[in-house]
Amino acid sequence: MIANSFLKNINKNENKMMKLNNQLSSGKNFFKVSENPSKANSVIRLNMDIENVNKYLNNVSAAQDILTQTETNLMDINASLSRINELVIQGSSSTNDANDKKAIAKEIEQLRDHIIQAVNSKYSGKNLFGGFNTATNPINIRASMVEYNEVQLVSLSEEDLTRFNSEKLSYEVDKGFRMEASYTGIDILGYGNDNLYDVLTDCINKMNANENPDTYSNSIKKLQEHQDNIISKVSEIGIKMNRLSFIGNKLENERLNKVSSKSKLEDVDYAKAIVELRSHEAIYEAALSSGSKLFQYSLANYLR
Amino acid sequence: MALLNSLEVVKRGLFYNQKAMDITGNNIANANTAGYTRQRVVAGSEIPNYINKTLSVKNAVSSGLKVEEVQQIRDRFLDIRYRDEDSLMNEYESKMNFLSAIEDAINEPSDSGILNALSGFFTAIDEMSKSPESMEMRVLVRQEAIRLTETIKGTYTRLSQIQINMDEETGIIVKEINRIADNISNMNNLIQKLESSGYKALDLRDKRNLLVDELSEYIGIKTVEDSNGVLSIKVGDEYLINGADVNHLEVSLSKSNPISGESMLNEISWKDGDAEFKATGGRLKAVLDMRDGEGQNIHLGNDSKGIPWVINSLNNFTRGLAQSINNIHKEGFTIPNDSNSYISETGKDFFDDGSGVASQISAKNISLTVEIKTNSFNIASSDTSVSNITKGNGGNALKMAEVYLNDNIVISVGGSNKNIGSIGGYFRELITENALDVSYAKSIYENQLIVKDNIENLRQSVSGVSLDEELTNMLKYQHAYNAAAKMINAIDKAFEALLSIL
Repeated sequence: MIANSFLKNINKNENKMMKLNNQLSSGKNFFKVSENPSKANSVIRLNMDIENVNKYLNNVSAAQDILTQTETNLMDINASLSRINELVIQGSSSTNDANDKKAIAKEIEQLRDHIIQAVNSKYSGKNLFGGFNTATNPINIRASMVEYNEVQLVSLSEEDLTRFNSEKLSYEVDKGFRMEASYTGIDILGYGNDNLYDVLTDCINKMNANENPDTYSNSIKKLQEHQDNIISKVSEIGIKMNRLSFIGNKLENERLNKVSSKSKLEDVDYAKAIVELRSHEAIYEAALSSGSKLFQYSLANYLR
Repeated sequence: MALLNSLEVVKRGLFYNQKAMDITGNNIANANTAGYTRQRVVAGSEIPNYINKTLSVKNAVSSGLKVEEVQQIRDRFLDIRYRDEDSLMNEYESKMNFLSAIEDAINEPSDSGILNALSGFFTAIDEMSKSPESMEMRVLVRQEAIRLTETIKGTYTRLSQIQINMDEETGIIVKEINRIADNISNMNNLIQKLESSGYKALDLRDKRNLLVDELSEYIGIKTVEDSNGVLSIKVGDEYLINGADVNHLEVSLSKSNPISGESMLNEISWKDGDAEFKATGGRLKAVLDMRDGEGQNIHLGNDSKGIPWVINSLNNFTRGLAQSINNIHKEGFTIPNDSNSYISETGKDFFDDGSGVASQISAKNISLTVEIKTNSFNIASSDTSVSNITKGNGGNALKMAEVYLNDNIVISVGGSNKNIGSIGGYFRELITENALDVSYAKSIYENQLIVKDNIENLRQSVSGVSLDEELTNMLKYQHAYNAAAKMINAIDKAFEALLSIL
């Protein structure tokens, strides 16, 4: 009987020490859900939440990347437009003769092609301003008509415009909040007769034809409008970037909070666990030594 | 004559003490024998010899002592309590083990569990919605989907295997019960024969008690012992052993499996009579509860969340996932990339049952459709028909990704609709309920273990052999024997003195 209860107690102690040892070596409070159902359930829940926050954080940085790239391209287009503006004003002055104007026309043409190239630029294999078109260049010149995704800008309908606008990339950066992170070629070039390509082509043609200086004032006005459009897009991006970094900070805080509450639930309090282990070791040792003494003695030792 | 009589009286003392030493020796020898009950010699004084006329009745001295009987020191009430508690402990120990096995089969939280695969799948779809034209993203979605379906199927197989093992165990337990019942009835016969001819069949009783203890591990029993020493045993209201007759249990492979589509299970019935067999406790009840428990009548207290319940929940989870993804996938359009047709197709399923039927999906058979398995461009990620310049349309993929956080998933089971909340949440509930069952069974088991140990200790203190006590008895009987021997010596001296006068 003594032996039985002695064994049982020793076993109990060993089990407790094993559990503490497991906790210490793994750093986790529990291994199976059943060891602590309510805590484990919260941990699984928090895991899902953290995954979600991570997803939003990924989206924030993806949106930031695309917007940064877009901004670079827009600044490039803006610089080209400023130069074109100068050139047109220079060309409109009567001091330039026909040859000078031809040279200016040449330079404007090159800057125009450069702008088109910028609109066709790619970001990690995808068109930056192409909407759903990932296979071909979004802007193409066919029979001297400019096309965006196979629709002529001159004859672009309201329906087309809505469709293309709906193709913009948007990222879910917080629960239920999506942010548009891309622009279409139409946003940059405009549409109808006053699209940027046609306005520039018109300037080039005027320069080549050596037309009167006063005919340029309309072109300069239109160019100014396009430049204003680009600059307003750039400042819009700035606002979006601010917003994104604000959301990003909020998400980081959220993640930190969730990770730390998860850690509170599942991570071992080392100080506590070690103290407990020590006390169990002491009990175990005491049990062993008392047991060994207990079993040494029997009445049989004293009988002769 | 009187001296000779004294010699006779002392001889009886010698015999008694010798017998007592024998019994003490037997007790010591059996100190560690399982089921051995301490024995004790009961002495009774012999009636004085009144026929002897040399002494007046007034001065009659009792003529020594005799061995009245050899008794077992046993408390029947403790035996009954021990068996009741032992049945309950074994029932919950088995339940705890089976529920733990289910928990292990579900394998959460872990990197190889269903929840991890589920979130991997939805993350991949979300990534694909950003670059639907990318082959790599699509292949990733397909791989994650395959990982998810394989994990679900693997979990199902493990659970189903546990049920098969349980079913085998019912057969083994029934065989054990029949074997023990046969043994007990044999013991009954022997004890009856021996005791009717005047012996005390103490060791046979010990053995029979041990068998009854063993039987109580497997099933809850009630025992009745009649005046002839025959022990009858009842399971519920039916006799398992009635005197020498044993009503065996039979196993036939005729119970339809609560999990549809799985093979028949063992039905347990009484060999004689029409009474329905009801497991009353012990391991057998645990196995049957876990094997058959659909969790429908928990509130009535006669149902458990066994394997059928877990598999049913897993099926609901699988259907919730497959039906909601399929419904959205059907609305979407594929990217025309098939070498056979350059058409953007719609109305296609994402998951099916492995043979092209989407309405029969369960956790056992969920697979990707052949189209998606063979060509990842057949994942309908676009919400409009796809042409060469709209390959970047990921609108439908986005809708699929939103299923993960939708907490109003409705599934149709057998024609009726059921709202299961969110997919991940539903599975998490399954895990938690199982875990709560495990910890409940564990706490009952631990409590029962303490109760059983306490009774066992009580029983040991009544019936068990204490070596110190036996040794003390040994000294006692030894001294008594020595004294009796000295007495003979004294009488001998008296005889000698008497005879030398002659």
